[in-house]
Amino acid sequence: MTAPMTFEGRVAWVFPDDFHTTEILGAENMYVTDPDVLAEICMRDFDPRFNELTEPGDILVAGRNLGYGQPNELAMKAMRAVGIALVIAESFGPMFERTNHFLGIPILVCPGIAGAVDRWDEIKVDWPAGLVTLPDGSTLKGPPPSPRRVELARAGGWSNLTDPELGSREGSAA
Amino acid sequence: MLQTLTQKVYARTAGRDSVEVGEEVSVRPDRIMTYEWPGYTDKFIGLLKERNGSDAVFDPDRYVVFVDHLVTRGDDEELERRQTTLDWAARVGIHLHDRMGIGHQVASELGYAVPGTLVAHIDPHISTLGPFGTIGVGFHQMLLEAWLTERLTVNVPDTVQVDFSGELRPGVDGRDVIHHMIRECGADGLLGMVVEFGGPGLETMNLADRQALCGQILFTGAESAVMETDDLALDFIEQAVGRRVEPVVGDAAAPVADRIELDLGDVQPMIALPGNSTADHMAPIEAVLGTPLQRGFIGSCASGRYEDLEAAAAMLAGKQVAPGFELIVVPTSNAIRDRAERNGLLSTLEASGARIAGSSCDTCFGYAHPMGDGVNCISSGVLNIRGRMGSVKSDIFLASVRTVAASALEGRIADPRELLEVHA
Repeated sequence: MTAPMTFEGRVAWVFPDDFHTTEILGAENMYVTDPDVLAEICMRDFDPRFNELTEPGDILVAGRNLGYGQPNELAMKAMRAVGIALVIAESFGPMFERTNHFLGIPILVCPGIAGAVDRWDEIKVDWPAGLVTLPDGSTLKGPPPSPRRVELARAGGWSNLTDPELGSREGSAA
Repeated sequence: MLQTLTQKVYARTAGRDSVEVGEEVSVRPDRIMTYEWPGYTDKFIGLLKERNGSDAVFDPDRYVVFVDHLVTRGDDEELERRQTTLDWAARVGIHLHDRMGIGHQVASELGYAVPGTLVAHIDPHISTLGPFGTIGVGFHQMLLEAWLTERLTVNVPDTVQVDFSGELRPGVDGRDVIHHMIRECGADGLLGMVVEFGGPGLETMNLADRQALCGQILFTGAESAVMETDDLALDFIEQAVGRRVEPVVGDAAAPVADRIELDLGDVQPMIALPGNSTADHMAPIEAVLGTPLQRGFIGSCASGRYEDLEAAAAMLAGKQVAPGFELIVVPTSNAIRDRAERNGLLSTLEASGARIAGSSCDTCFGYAHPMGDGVNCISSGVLNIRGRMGSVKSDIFLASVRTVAASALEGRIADPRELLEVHA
């Protein structure tokens, strides 16, 4: 899987500040792992038609601290299953940020984004540049992802990286 | 270059003299830990085989697995999963601790938490090791990287210094301190930082309160928390490792993102209202006094320690929990349970109507003793989101062990300070 580095898509949802991603599936579904079932139940409590209405390439937007506390990894698996290609937030919880980069999911910090878009707005994102173009043509800018994070997204996650990185342990000091 | 304790720990594990905040570095954690959980341990084993052709690890001594979740039903699924993990650990020589209690506690009892070290885990509540001078960080799936390479690519976190003065008032404990901090700082107030706790007030807190505070620090947005190690902490570590260890400290003049002072005497009993642990859900107990309850839970990695059981037993001694109220007590580890049993705490709790369950994580996330529809629970567990402890139609109020005990007697949310005044 090779993720695209620029995105044009609709805003599938705008989450509030401090959103706990367990809500995406509900704590009662913490043992579900089948992607089809995850897609079906994804966001059911917010919009029962979320899976049906969301298209591949759609984008999630959030306020500050998305995935705070202990973020639910299955929730992002579900989001990928429904086609979410990119997540933009004013800030991310540290675990959410790290884990999604590791899994190769493009995520972008972009101050001001939550108040600048509504659901189903179409936006363009140059992810490596951290640049978001809003429907009216104006732009917002966030810190560009590090080269390593872009590389991780290109590879479709750390597990798909080539072997040299895996072989680096022998020479490491600590 | 002046370095905080956090920077020193990241620098050493990165094989460097110093590191800068935000810098991307490759660290080799002193310990790489997980608990057994489907989608993690099985995935680690699978990926090791796939990538290395063997499920062995390079330096087995660095790896620790705890079996503490999904252990209370005894069904085939549980047994098969556990046997697979046990066989693997024995075969490749990594440390495995099977049902000794909650790993975040057992890790400190077994000496895995020593000053100035970095522990990587799948679960962010590993910050519970902070009182021993250890920085515990949660990585979820990213721990795969450490499982395969012993290393993790991370950005060096910033440090916030929190200094305590004063002393906790009777009826107030470490859980109230974290709830107070979330209310004051916000759920992202300390985003991505390591909180370094110190100040004269810290020495007045017992270890259980320190562990509870550090273990819940993620709800301030923080990456982890670590504390100055005084004699109380060093004595505990000595017991665990069999020798006296030295504290590891940062440079006092190292720049930090922020300095916060908190007078522990200002902290009042707090309740985290059902649904979330954000600042707007943190309420002084007065706001919800009298709320009817059917269930109480004392336990989790953020409660249920000896000092907690002692406090609960002192409040419940010679009394009965309210009719129809179910109080479940889960000692944090087998060692704590044994000590509490020897010293009569468990019989005191049982005589008051409490039910003592085996040491595990299972009640905290509804795998054991799931709550039914319409039940209100007062809990010293770690999380209060909808459905966390059973039915999505049940509600969880998070509180200190003292508030749980006081509320158990009345069958509604009650102020522990009132009960303690009656005693006085």
